[in-house]
Parts: sequence; structure tokens; C-alpha cells
Amino acid sequence: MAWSNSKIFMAFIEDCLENTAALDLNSDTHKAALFDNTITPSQTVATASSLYGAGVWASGEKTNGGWSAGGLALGSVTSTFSSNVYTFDAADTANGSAATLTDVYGVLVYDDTTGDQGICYNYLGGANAVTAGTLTIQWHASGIFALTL
Amino acid sequence: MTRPVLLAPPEHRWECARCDFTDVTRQSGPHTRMHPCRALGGLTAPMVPAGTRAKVEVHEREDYIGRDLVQMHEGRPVMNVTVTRDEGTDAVVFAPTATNLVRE
Repeated sequence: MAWSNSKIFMAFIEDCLENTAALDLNSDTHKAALFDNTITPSQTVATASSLYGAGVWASGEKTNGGWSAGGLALGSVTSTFSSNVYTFDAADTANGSAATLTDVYGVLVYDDTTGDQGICYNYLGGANAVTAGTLTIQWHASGIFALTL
Repeated sequence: MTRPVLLAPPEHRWECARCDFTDVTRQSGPHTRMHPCRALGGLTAPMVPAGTRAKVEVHEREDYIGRDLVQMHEGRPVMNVTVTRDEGTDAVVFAPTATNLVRE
């Protein structure tokens, strides 16, 4: 198994609805970390296994240069709804100092303020790489994650 | 007594290796200028320092789309745009939107 899709952690939804953790998409600091294809993300894992550095996220992180361990903070975060669609979004995420990375397959987005809890993971569709350069994650026009209810 | 003088950030001149777009940034830290490239149908592409020889390539997604909301280009799912310079490679990687299926 390996990366196959982009999903929101069910534990994140449940913990928000049940006030299990004080997750605040408006004001917390959120980060995006890069991972290789040795892991198999699952949206149905318990909270403890969705955390950055736990579960499948305990290995396989890709780091170098500006993409340091733990990933990069999301900037210009927005948390909005329009009609029946809730959207979480941010500005594109890029390293400052040059990085050399290979086999970047996916991104874990997590809440760095509240226990490193996983929010969602985004599958980049294949092996991405840069050499002594900038790797920019451009989030889709529909957001980092979207809930249609 | 000498007075402190604020130095202006250095000027960086950029150009696109695929279209004729040019730009100037004034930023002290390392950075790469991006732009929606006209030659690539509006896809975001990294620019290179003016005068740098480079190759721009669009790479198609290597796996099934499934239910992911992915970036499309000319009817095909795009994974990234890479710019290969003499000294390295830059990439803009298009992340799909994460979703959950809600049935009515």
C-alpha cells in the first residue's frame, strides 16, 4: 500500500464536534509536512495515530533546507463557508532556503498549536523532487480541505 | 556620531523561461518568484533570475484521480511544473483538496 487519495481525518471532525480538543482553525498555527511513499495514510485512524510524529507519520518525512522537520507553517489561513461548503485554505507553502528533496508524495496538514493533531492529508499524485531549489505546494482553488454538507 | 542607515533590500530581476513575463522583487531572504504563466494556460510556474538558461516542464499526475479534486491543464490532471536550471531544479506541486464523502 501507499498514498492513494486526499482525505480529512475523521478523528479531527469528531474531536471538533465533541470538543475533545480545542482545535481552532481560525487562530491556531498549522503546519504542512512532506512525506515519501513508504507510508499508507488512513482517514479512519484514532486521534493518537493522526498526530504528526505518530502512527504512520512517525517515519517517511522528507526534510532538507527550508523544508525542516515538522514542515512549514501555513500562512494567510482562511476558514470560511459559502452556501453548503466549508473550506479551509492558506497561501501557497514554499521553502525559503534552497532544498534538495526526492520522492515527495504527500503532505500532512496538522495543528501545531493543539498537540500536533492531524487535520488532513493531501496526495500529490506521484514522486516530486527539487534540487538546490524551491518546492512550492500550491493548494487547490477549492482549498486544502473542503466539506460539502 | 554616526546615524544608523537602513539599507534597501537587494533587487532581484526575474524572467520566465517559457513566456516573456519579467518582474523585479526587493526581498532580502532567499526566495523564488512565481507567476501564472501565459504559455502554460495560467499554471503557476517558477521564474528564474534574469539571464538564466532554464527548461520548464509540466508533469502529469502519475496516479488515478479517484475522488480527489486535482489541478487540470488542457483536460489532463497536472502534478507539478518544474524548472530546471544549470544549478538545480524548482517545482510548483499542485496539491489536491482533501474531502470526505457525505451521502444524503
